[in-house]
Amino acid sequence: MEFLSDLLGLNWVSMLAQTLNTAVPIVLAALGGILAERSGVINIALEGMMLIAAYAAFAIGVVTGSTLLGLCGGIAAGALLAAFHAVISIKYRTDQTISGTVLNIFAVGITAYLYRQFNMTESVETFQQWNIPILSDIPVIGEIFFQQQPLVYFTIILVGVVQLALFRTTWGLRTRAIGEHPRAADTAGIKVNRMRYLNVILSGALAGLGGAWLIVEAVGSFTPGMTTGRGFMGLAAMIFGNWTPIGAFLAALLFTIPGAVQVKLQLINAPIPYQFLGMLPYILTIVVLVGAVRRNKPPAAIGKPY
Amino acid sequence: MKKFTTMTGFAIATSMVLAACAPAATPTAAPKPTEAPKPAATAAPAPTTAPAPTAAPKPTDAPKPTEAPKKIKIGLVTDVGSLDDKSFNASAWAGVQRAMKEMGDKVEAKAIESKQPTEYQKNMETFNKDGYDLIITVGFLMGDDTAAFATKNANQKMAIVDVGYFDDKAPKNVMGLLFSEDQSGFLAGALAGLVTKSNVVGGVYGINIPPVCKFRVGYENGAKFTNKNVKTLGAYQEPGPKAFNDPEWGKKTAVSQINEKADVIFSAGGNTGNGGLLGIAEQAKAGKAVLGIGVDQDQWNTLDGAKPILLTSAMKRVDQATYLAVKAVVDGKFKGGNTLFDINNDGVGIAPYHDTESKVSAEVKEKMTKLIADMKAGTVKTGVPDPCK
Repeated sequence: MEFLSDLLGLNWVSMLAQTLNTAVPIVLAALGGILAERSGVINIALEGMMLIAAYAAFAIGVVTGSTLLGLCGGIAAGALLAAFHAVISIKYRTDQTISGTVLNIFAVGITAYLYRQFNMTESVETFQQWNIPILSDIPVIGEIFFQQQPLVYFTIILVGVVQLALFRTTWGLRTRAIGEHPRAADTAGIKVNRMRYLNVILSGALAGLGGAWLIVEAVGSFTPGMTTGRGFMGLAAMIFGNWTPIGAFLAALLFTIPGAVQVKLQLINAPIPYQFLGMLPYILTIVVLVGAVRRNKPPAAIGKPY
Repeated sequence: MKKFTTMTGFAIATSMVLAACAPAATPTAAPKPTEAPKPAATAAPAPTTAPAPTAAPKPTDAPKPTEAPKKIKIGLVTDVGSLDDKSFNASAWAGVQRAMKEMGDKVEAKAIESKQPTEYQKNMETFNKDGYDLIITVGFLMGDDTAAFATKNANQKMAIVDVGYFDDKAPKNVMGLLFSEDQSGFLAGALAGLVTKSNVVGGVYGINIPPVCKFRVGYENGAKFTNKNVKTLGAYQEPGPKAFNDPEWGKKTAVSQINEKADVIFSAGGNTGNGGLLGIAEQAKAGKAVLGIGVDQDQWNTLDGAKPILLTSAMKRVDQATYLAVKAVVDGKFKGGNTLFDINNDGVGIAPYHDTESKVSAEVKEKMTKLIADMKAGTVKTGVPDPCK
């Protein structure tokens, strides 16, 4: 029974707060994926965009000494890479999966190269926690939702904004239209390719924000390959969430909770092998891919150049 | 369509060139056979053609390294961690570089970073084919591959960090460079036990392999040795691509332990550990009284962000070991077999306090000095089981 009392003695509230934090890059990647795919362009280069953005945020942050500039640099780097993806897949009508794969490989190569060339031992000053007045004093809820770093709030707001924009605005309607039936949309006077450019670049900016998060909010220092699959987790969250922002947000939380629980259980030497919980996000992903996904429907015109 | 193929091909080519030509003598991206096929073939005129940077310079083609070698060639192969992890691999490479500097024109060295375990032997073979005099493999995870490769190539001198071969089948051409990580872990833990105010000390670790396990159990035993009331926390990563390379995990695991009242945390796990130290520094900046302990090298020199909170580092002089291995080859005294680096030959130990000197009382310092002396004399044992699990 010592185990049970240890279990209850753990600080679970702070764990939930941390989970929300950890989900940020995955949610941002998922939002990026949603914008691109809803408009009909596959973007599996989210991972690479995040990695390049992380390096850009780190390098610019260290050189200028400004975390905020680093953040902007990260977003810009993600958008730039996405613009490249957009050109190859919209203008040159490439297979979008190949283009995305190439960009992922490119990102690994160039960031490792740059990191090595300019060996920096410094790190970027990470954003401090912002406690929201009054709200942060609410027990439990306050600690989970209102004692976070700025990008956490921003991400939650973004989820709402993208959800509304996608389903309640003209822009959203058009985005969905060009992803479902571009010809019909074209007939209705929508500039299909121009909108796709915009969406893909926005998608890169969001992934870039997620990559920059690793630097400006998480650890402040770059490591080659440090995204370790977060972009792909974002894609999985997007699919699990049926290409909706709120769905993807919840899916991302589902993916990150087991990892946090795993660490907590290790701290009290729980009699459950920690590897099991470590596997859980991946098992969930597989279950999701074979189960829920069969019901979930991707945009009809996805991957088809127009 | 044609345009696309050229562009894609060019992008692949560029990325591979960039990945390949990385630093001064370090062809990082070992040739990646998996990427080459696909459209690159059609885009032939692109610059790369042969993605095999390491195999390129073969001037005279023939000579075996044994006949009057002008330079001793040293090849270092890392496991999946990166060469600039600011701790373990970096330390191994630093030892080789020191040998290059001191022995000047006699030694030249290159390193290959393995991207995945399946590349270990291939990377060794790259050096072997180029007539390298000594191949150093870095890390416990390469133990089996190194033994297999050494057995197949009985004339190739090799050294491996963190692995010893003890049974009858042990290859005779491999130097096993072993460390008493438990001793430096024990000293770090003893210090943590003395310094902690909350009586909770934490640990952020790479994956559960013997060298890391010895650090951890040594640390926990050390803390209990100096502080009977101490509670120890700790978490390992799971094996996989994130092992030793996920600073964000390191950070959140450190913070998680701070939330469970830990005020000294040992962060031992390459880049993962670095993230832990930076996370502790961030918490300290936010007003919490927390300290961190680094690993392998004196991380005060390698991780600026951790300086204010770095109590010490549990050192493991991998650099010394690789340096001695190179020296043995240069002096013609290379011999297979295991070498243990421990407290008595300064192979392990703890780093100076640096910026946190003021947080360590004179009394604690005295106790530590005595403990080190006792450990050297053999009166204090770490109590870490072998093999460590």
